[in-house]
Amino acid sequence: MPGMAEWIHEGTNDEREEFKVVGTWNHPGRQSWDMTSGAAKYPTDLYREGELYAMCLRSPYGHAKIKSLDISEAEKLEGVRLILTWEDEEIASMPKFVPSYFTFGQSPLLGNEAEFEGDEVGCVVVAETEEICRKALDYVRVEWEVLPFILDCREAGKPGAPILRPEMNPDSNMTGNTFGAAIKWENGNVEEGFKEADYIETIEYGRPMWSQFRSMPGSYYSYWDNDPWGNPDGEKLCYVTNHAHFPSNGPLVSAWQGMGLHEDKIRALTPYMASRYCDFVEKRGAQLAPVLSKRLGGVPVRMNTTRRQAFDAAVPETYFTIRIGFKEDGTLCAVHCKNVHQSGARGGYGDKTHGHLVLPPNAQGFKSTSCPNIYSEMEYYVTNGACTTADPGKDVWEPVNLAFAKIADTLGMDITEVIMKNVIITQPSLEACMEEGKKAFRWDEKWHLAGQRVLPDGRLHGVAARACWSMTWGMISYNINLRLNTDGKVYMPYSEALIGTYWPDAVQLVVAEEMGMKPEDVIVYYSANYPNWQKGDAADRGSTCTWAAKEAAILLKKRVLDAVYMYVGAATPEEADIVDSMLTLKADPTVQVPLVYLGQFAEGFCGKPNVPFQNDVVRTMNVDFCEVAVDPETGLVEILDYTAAHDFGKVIRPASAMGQLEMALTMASGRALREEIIWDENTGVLLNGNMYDYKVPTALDQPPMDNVAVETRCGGGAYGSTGVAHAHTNAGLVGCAIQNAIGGDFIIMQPYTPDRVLAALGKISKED
Amino acid sequence: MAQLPRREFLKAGTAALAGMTLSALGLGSITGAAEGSSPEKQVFVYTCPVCGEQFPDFEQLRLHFSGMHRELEIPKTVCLTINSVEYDVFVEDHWTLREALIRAVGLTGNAKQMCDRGGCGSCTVLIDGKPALSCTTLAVECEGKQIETSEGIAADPTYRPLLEAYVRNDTAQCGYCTPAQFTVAKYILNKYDLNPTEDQIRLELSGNICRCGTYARHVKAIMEAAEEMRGGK
Repeated sequence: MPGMAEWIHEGTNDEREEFKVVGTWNHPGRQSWDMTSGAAKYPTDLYREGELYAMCLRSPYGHAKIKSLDISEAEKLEGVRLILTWEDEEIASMPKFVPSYFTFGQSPLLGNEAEFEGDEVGCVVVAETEEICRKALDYVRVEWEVLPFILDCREAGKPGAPILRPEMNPDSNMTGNTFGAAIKWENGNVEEGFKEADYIETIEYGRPMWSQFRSMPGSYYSYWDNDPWGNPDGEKLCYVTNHAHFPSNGPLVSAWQGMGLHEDKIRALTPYMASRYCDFVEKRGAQLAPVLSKRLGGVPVRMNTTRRQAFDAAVPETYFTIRIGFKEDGTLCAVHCKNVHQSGARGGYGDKTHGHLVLPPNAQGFKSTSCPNIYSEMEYYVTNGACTTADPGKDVWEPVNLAFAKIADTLGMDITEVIMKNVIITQPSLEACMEEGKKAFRWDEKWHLAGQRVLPDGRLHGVAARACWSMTWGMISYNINLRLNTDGKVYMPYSEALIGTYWPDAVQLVVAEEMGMKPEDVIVYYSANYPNWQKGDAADRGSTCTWAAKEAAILLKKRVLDAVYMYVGAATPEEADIVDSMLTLKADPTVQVPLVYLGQFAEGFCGKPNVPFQNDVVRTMNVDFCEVAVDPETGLVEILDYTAAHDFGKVIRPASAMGQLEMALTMASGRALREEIIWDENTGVLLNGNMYDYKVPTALDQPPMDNVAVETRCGGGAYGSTGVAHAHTNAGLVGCAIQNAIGGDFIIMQPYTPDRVLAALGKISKED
Repeated sequence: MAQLPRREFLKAGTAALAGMTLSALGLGSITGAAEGSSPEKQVFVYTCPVCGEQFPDFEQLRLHFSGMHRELEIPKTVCLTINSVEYDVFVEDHWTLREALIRAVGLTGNAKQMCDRGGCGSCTVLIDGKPALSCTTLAVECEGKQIETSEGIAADPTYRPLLEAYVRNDTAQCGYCTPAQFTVAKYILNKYDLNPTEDQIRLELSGNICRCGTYARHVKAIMEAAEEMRGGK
């Protein structure tokens, strides 16, 4: 079928059936001890004698331009060491984009136009204390030209709306999406499809901006000092905190490219960077701190953001209007999907200082259904509501699942049946996930028609299910080098900033498995600047890095056996083996020789699985289930059970694999019930940029979970594995469960707060 | 009287302190002292920031100042008892305990800045056995109180089962909030006599925000540690 999503099942790496190490528990991560004890040093923890502090001027307006800037009084303050303005030659010459993900939004490192409230603009102050920085910024005299602002992307698209980025698009606020997906596309003939439909329904769905809320607000630290291992050209080395997992060593790349340096002159200060959830936003501090330090002779410069300032990275708002046509048996026959989406303050993506990536929640997911007639129309508008980042949910599937819920509700069908009737390209993965998930969730006991069950305590009971791709991005070539040392240990260096996926520890298990080593004899260790991959990284570490590790381990084992087989009396390398870190004779496993002092052997592999990088390639699926109780008096929703059945292909390291599911579902629960960034519509000022008013789930809010690991070996990584990545933070599932509880209309706007639930129940008007 | 830049004074103590503490414990990067051990007065090498002369104690530095650098004001010190070790440290009156932990003592486990206004729990220490937010506690208020940090708890053999349960269960993902949760975990074990329920653990941890959603892992780790510490394993 033209335009269909492609289902590639290569049986990747599925030749190994026996696993001794892979898939087993109780392997503490290399960093776990220090992350628990507190010995791990994050950028905010770094402290050096004589350090200075840097802060940027920030806009008090939703959109404004600097007409004049006077720093003379600020410069006179005692303790102020340097003030640079946007007109500074070096600042102005910094590149306007990073070497990947760019087409739009080439904002300068420090410009004279603020594109949202809190935007860094105009000048940066370096002083001896943070207090002096703040005071100096108070002394900076700024004449602002306040410009019109737009917070809602639907407003940005209206005729007559002010043009926010004329240098980007002089005609409208339209911008592009990240991966260049077509703005309009059609499969089949939608109008003909609607003629064949037994039912035609319309779905409205909207989502406000919300924050991925990384745990450590952006913190950058840099100084210049001698390279203890040599300064051949007499230049100092730039030490800098690593603060992005994507693109690879983001600020490092930006720093050395921006300053005309080569990579050997930049060294990461720490592998720890706290959490990032596809938040590609690099704050200006990442690039400014090294520049400011250099201007001051290499003295350490710290550039921290506050929690409120950290809300400048957000997941974009999006609005859908979808017409669906379907048959009496529940199969889709026509989809007309219109999506208005926000591209953030700097346009599409690629601004190096606030890089953003927009994964559009478009109609792509419908291509995985049997529906022959699909029309998709997307509009992406720049606004003044912060910068936007990728959505850590697989949002292309949210409209599809809402369509399934609508069909199920209209026809009185079980939604799991609707999913299985319509989704066609992902067997055996979908069927396996559905079966395992329904069993774990006890779906058959819990499901009922909408509005049909009341709990003993008077609350309304509801359930829902949804399916989604488990993306195997596979776009990264990992570079894994292994060395068997004379101490009998296999060593693997890595340099990647750590965000909690435990990929080096998963790699350790794969290498142990392939080499025949005990896990404790495979040592993964942090080595600053060691390039594990070419450029970029993604949440599919679990697939591409394990693939490269497996290939490298196979090569190393062969090299070792070719060289030392004779020590166990073997006539050929094929007669020898490595078992539990011992060289052995296959014919007589009691013949064993330790691998110590047999020499040093090294091998490497740089590459990736044969997986094209595009949204349409699907290998594995996942199905989530949600059970809620809705209080009809207060509108309060409690999630009683949340179950993800995720096809990992093959679980490499269970502790971290299941941990990723827990993270995603917990985040989804917060996003569904309480998380929303709110600006004042009259001033463009952020209203809830703190942890009291923006409510992240606590230990008491976390829903009970019964997650299931499904293993079909269909993924793209080692042994057919794949990661969790973007799959599960879909808040729409909770909304479908609420509708199943209360009956009637679906709530069209997230989060599903009590007022919206009460409005859906008819207890208050929708305008209230 | 001219005031000596405070940061020059800080230079005097911290480097020597860190080295001594680590080597004394033999625990690599974990700093602290075993519970039950008698408090030990930590000895700094006090270096005069003006002329560079070194002294074994603060009093001798003070005498040196009154003789050689009369024009300068000598900042006062505060004695903080952290993980059963007494630290004489220079702190500004307005410094929070969190700032003092980073700048003067070099213990950063419980000095994490997620919100800086008492809303996240990432800076939680134990003061006299109870959880307290180091970002909203002044360092000068802590004199005479027992301060416990994650580094000390991790180095305490009594709580080795807790540390092992934490790393075994991947309680850390990004790890930023983990030391504070680990610190509260010790409090939970003590408060509930090594027999906390899941509800009690979740309630006690509800002031510690984890964006990675690791809460269930903490519950599991604490319950496993409690069982082992009760002698069940």
